[in-house]
Amino acid sequence: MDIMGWRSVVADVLAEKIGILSDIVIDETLEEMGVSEENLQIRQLGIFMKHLYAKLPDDIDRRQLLYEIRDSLMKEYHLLLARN
Amino acid sequence: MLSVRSKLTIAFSIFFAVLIAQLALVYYFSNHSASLIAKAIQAHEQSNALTRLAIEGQKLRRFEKEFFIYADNPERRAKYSGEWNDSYEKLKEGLALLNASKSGWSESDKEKARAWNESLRDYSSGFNKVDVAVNSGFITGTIAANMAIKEAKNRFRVFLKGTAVEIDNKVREASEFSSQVEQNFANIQKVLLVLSVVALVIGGSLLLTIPRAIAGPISTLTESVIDISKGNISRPVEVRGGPEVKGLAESVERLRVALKGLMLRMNKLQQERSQGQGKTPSGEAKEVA
Repeated sequence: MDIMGWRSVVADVLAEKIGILSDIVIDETLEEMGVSEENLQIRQLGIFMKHLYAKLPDDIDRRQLLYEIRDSLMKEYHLLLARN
Repeated sequence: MLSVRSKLTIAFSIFFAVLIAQLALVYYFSNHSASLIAKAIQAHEQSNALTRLAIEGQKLRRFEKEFFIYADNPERRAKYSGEWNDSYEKLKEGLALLNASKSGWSESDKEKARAWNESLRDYSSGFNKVDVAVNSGFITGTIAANMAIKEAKNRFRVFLKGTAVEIDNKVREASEFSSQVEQNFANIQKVLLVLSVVALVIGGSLLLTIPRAIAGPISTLTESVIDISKGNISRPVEVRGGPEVKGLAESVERLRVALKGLMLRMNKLQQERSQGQGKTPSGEAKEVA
């Protein structure tokens, strides 16, 4: 477990646009990747985002949402992400 | 975009500012007018007082003339001499009151009154001398008596002319103050008219904009919510209006997107289940297991 609490950061940003669907989307993405929440590595975040993009509803600005998630994660774990 | 609350606050602030301005202007103009009316009344009263003095001065002259006409008639002469003295006392008292007055009369008025008093005293002194001379028989006849009082009479002109001029001045002053009061009322009317138009414009624009600003976005949002409740979840909720309605619209849009996502997933699951049920009995057995 490389980045503790990442899920709540991502879920918070997602919830701003898709509300209760955010946790479902995260679970689906993790399931698709075949990793658990605790085992997600920092280096897997890129792939996670890619899968997440495909899972998001198409009537929202998905690209913008991913930028917002990236920014929030950078803000929260800037040192960790910068190093990786 | 401004919130409904901010719009209402601004609009009502302007409205109250107009009302306060109206109140302040009316208060100022009415106070100013009241002071002008008081001045006009004072000038009018002064002109009345001066008119009474001038009448008394003319009466003095008339009694003097009657006295000379009856210069040869001791009885009539004594009567007019007495009346002259009565008038003189009244005039003296009037001038003394004017001089002693603490309000209303200006220093320049009092200065003039002192000059008039002096001219009255000179005239009185001249008349009394002639009176004594006529009574003691030194002067006989109207013409001689007239000649004897000529100089004193000339001095009395200071009073007669002075009061006439001053009456004119006071009447003019009163008239000027009245004109100013009229002008003030005309100004009040204009200002009230302008401010009323401003208040009407503000009120009218409030009437047009505020209900639209509140009802428009709420009505659009209501339509969207009705659509969603009926199952039409494909149309995005229009996010517009003030921050209050905008926040609500964003929340409804979030719910719509979530609901749509859930519906899609539910349909997908149902499809998968149906496909699973359509499989071979062995497959079914596997799934149940």
